[in-house]
Amino acid sequence: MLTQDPAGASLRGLTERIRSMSAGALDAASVRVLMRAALQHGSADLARAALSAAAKDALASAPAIERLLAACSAKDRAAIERELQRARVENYLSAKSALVAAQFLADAGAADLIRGALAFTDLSNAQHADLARLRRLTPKSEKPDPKRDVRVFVSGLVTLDPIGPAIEVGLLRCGFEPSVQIGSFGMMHHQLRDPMGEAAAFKPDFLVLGYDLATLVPDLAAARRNPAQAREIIAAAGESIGDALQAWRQISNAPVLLHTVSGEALRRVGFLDATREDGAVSLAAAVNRMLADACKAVTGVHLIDLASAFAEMGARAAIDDRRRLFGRFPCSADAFATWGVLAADCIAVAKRGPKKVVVSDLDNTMWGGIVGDAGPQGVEVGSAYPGNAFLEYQRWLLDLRSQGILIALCSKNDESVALSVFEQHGGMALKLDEVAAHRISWNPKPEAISELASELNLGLDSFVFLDDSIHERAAVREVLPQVLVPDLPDDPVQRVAFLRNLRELWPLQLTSTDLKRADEYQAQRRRDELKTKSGSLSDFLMSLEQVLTITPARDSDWTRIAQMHQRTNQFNMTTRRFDEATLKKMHANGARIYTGALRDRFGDQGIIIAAIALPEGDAWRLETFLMSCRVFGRQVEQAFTGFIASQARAAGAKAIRGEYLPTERNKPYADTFARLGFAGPQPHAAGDGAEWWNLDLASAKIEHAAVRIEVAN
Amino acid sequence: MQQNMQTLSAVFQEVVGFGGALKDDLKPVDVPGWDSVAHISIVEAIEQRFGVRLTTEQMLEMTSIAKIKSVLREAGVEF
Repeated sequence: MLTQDPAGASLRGLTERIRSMSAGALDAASVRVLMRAALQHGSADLARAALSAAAKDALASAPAIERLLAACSAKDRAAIERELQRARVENYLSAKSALVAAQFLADAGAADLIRGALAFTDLSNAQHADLARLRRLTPKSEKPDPKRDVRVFVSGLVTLDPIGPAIEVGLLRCGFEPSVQIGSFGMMHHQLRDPMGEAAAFKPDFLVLGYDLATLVPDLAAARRNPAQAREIIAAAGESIGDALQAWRQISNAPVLLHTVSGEALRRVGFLDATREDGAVSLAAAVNRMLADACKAVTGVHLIDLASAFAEMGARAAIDDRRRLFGRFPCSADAFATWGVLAADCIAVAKRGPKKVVVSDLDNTMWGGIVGDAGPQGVEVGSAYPGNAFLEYQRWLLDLRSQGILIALCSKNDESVALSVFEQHGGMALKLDEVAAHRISWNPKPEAISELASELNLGLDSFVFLDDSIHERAAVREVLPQVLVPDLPDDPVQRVAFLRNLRELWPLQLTSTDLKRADEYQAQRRRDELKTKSGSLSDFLMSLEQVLTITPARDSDWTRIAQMHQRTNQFNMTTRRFDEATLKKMHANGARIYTGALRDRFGDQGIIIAAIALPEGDAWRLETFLMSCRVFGRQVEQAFTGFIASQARAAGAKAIRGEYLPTERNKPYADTFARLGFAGPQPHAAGDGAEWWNLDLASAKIEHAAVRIEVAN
Repeated sequence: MQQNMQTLSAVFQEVVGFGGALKDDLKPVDVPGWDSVAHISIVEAIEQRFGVRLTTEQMLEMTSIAKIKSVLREAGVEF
């Protein structure tokens, strides 16, 4: 291993020596030393030699790093920015490459660009030492933005300090500004229950809990031989954690991340660990079931499957007995890296919601081969290799669809030829009527994806694009930076394992609306067909036979209403996001909360509109007004507002006040109040950019002939 | 020997961000961040860099640069 900076005089000799090495001969540390030497002496030859001899995992994207190095050594800021942009478009960085890039950027006085590099870094196999260094190299953001701040308190029963930098780098990668505090050792039960304690005082946005099986259920190891007693002990631990979570809900609305535990520490009896009730496998499963139940009992508690993540990295790599027995660490340093990044990804989904649409290419992505050459029956998909790799890919898409994620197609092909595969090839698992929308033409893909976004009425930032061609991926990344474009592995057999780990597609909860969403888009297509056939828009709306069922919010709706706050970006008055616990509190304090579910002759769309009104003096003030963009232009907001107006009037109110707070994403809301007959905008003093509108209930009359209202109790 | 000292410097630079000279009498109190949690990371980095495996007892002895060097000498690394 090379650990010494070479002197300038021997530079040429060194360069020659390294040139003679085979690819993969140098580990990451050596490459780093050499790159620093190359930077110091301005030797691009040495940098190139080092990169060509680097191990693959040391530098996943060597050419991009090499050009970045040249720009950094010239201290040319414009060139550095250009190279970073190019690197982003071409490839994802491994954590090691990101570290090399970060070091260069810091040395070139451009440390503020490190965040930009992290945004396209793959942290899934990162080592802890690299994350800790990346954290140190990344400076605090110069432009504070409260919307990006995420405060995380880590509380547990074991030593958890190493998770800090991993959560932080994970959150930086997702574009957040993290502050992480690790609570005093072992005080989890106390911190969750004490309104004046450390956790409460930190005012976290998220609470991450950490423990292992031995600390969570301390008496289990001794009692395991007596199954009845073991069950009792697990149930008691479940009650204790359940009480602590309830207590925390009284103190704070911050969501809590629990995690599953690994049974490795309970392995004692070899072969029989898998069969006996007192074996490690059964006991760990019982404890994890207990944790899942604890999650369901309290709102805003999520269970991340850490045991599976550790199993994936291998128990031998994840558990470190020296750390465990000497320092009470639940896992190895690198397992902390895996855990922290997993927690950060979970927090990112909790804050932004999962992606909503997967756009898939066809040739060599959906099936093997090119339909234009092989013909509709000649492409590879089916039960035997290589078609089975594509079959698994289609089944993965169908699993996503059953979770409410839409499947769309985008291919450069002759439309009729490409679609004939769906009709003529017997091996296809995905059927055409399970596809929400498609664009098959010779137009550039960024253009096609933009069209899909307007057809589906969803923002580009909720799109994922999958394509086997690096050129198509680069084109979409270049033109549509909001779209998530993963580096699909070249080998089709590796793709599903890779895609399963795409956490941007992991929902944190599923409501009945999610489960029906994909089917609803099919109904939408039939509505659109009717619309083109109908004479006028009002004829079309009347022919839909729409019924809006309005419900004053009940307990069972909180999940859906909170989720609507999370997911609704376009038709959203303020884009302020309230979680379940906050909604319940508002409701208890007298807020009027209404939801509306729409059905028509094509199907039931579930809850698609919600509002929160706060009675204030002789007016009702709208705190939330939001609607799913799927029902734009259907007179739903008119019917709903008309109903709220009648409720307000009945309660003696004279007016309804509404506030439009423009953000980057809710522009479609802009003319809503004017369309509903509100007067405004009125001058205001707040200076937050909000517009205030007023509906005079004495004169208000809102037309909604195409929507009949039903009121549920 | 010079090279091994540089390796040790690199460990302290990478694990706790300490870039100062590693004098023999340097102790955890002299280095910001060299606490008990970081100590185990320092030891792991030393093991990895020098290709040695140390016992937990040896890990606990390594409470100054001089003692780190002496433990590493026992393990066959020249200082």
